[in-house]
Amino acid sequence: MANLPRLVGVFALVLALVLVVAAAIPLLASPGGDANPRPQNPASFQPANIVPQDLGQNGSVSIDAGSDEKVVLIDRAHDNDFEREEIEPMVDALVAQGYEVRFHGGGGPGGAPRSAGPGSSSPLNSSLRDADAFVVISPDRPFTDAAQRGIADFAERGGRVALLGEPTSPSPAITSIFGPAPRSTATSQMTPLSSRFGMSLSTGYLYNMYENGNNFQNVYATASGDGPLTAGVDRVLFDRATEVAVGGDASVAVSATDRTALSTTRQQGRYPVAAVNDNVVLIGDTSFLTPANYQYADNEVLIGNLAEFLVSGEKEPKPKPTTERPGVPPRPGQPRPPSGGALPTNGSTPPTPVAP
Amino acid sequence: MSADNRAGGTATWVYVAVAVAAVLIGLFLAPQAMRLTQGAGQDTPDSVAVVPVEGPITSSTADQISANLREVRRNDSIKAVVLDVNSPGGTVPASEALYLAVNRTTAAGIPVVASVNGQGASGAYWAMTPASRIYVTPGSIVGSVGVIGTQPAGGAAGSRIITGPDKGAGGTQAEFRDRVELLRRQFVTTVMNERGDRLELSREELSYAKVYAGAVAERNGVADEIGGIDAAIQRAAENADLENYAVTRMDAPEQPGLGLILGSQEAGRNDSGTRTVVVEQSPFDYEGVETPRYLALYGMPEQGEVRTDG
Repeated sequence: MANLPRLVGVFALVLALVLVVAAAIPLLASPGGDANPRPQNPASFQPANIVPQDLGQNGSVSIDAGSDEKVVLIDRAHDNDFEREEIEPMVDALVAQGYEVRFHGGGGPGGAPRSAGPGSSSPLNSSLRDADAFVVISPDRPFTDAAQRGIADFAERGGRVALLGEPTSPSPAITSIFGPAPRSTATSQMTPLSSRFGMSLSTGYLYNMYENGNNFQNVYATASGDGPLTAGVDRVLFDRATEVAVGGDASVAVSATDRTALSTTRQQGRYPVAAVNDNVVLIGDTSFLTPANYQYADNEVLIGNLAEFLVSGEKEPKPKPTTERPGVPPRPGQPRPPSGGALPTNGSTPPTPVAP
Repeated sequence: MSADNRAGGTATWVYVAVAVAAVLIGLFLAPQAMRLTQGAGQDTPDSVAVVPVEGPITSSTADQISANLREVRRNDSIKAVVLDVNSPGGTVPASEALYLAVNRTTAAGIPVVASVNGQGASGAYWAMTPASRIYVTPGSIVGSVGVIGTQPAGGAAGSRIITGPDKGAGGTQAEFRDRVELLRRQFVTTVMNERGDRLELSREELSYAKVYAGAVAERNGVADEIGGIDAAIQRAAENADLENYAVTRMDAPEQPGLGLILGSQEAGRNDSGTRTVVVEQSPFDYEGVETPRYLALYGMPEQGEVRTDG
């Protein structure tokens, strides 16, 4: 029995040894978790899954029209919201073909004279007299009634008119460094003019969440019908387009692709973006003219077609102003108001019946 | 002699028997011993960690939250994580870094549950998408899956000389657009992949970058369940098979230059009561240098040329 303490000692020693080893295991087995982190490669971080497609830019503007001497007049007198460099591709192509490009108003060497001699009370109308085509881009100031009638008469006599506008609601996609405030308050002054030709611009912008040029506001549009704008145009890309409403004799020339939506209604559809009514076209976008955008898709073809449209008109010379116009009998009991009366008149341009 | 041998032999046998008995008893008691030491080095045997994701997500706050998650992965007593989210998002690089940190935590086998308290929008939503469940309250705001790019005007002016046409702005407007589009695709693809079948919105619907009230988000799959932080903690514990657990709240990220931010908030408070969120102070701001920024943020920056996508 003398061995009993020794036996107890051995028992305690072995037991303690086992428990110490057991207790030490958790301490030894925690090597600090992240020592060898597994490399991560989520699918959404793979370039192949997320790099957007290259839209591709190529082509140049070409004009296939006669070599007659033609003058294209571009409006700068109505706070038009564009810089000259923004329409360079079209202007360069026109000039390269030998056509003359003039700017009306806005000052500078290209500006038209403020007054063009006796018998003219409207600088615009006197500028139009020497022009074969007239281009209006994003006017922020309204056209006077006389100017509107002058333009309508100009188109009536075979002069070509191109009206280009943008959505007037502020763009959510791009705002300038000074914010959208100045632009957002400006109301489009295009519709009062274009509605004379059965066309008008919407205020909202078009967007497409399904098929776009790497931004929801860069919408694609395709040609409709056989109008003067659509030859050779398969698909064009508009950076900031709006809907063109078409009525009367006007017909749709270019429509946005399926599932394009209008910002104001959020309704999807095939919205017209360009329309033609005889000698007048209305396009609900100006961005496709810019040097940055003109080579996307078939934009350069559309610009070429637009330029051809402008220089291929045959304008009749203006008839001498008379007190009684042939074909427009004065209404009985309603004499024409004298010059300088309540209604603004254009001394050289007789009033034109309002188109539908 | 023989008596000694017999006595010695008996003694050896007894010693061996006693040792074997001690080993057996030791093995029986070993789990208790292991549990003792497991708890000894730490506060509690098992716990659910609550990791706050608060305020704008900047590189600084993302680093702090990522460090908390690293601690979660390192500490064996922490069995599950609840992200306590109240953030409008922040910069894209910080948001995707935070996403990777959460993603790594779930990849390490630690259940992660998110609880939105207030708003969990844009970059904050991006970061929490790896969570197995997203809890929202009916009035909390989640979503805003989109990106805002801000870019300084480029080009040379005055006496400034740059060595290339894109040194100022970093690229053309089209390249800027494509870059923002890439980030949108990354964000949307992440949400689609992480939420999977639970999401009832298409890529296009998600790309509208709408925010959703919790009650709506629970229906369209942007979130999973209505409930507060306690429901989220309980769910996290269940996912980790914990019956008895403690809750450890980690430190909330500290916003750098707090005084500056508070000052900006006061200065940015306008009549309509909106608050200016300082996303990231540019280190060059004092010299008037603008740098391009890509934000996964619910709200619009006050200055700078902005392109949104999604």
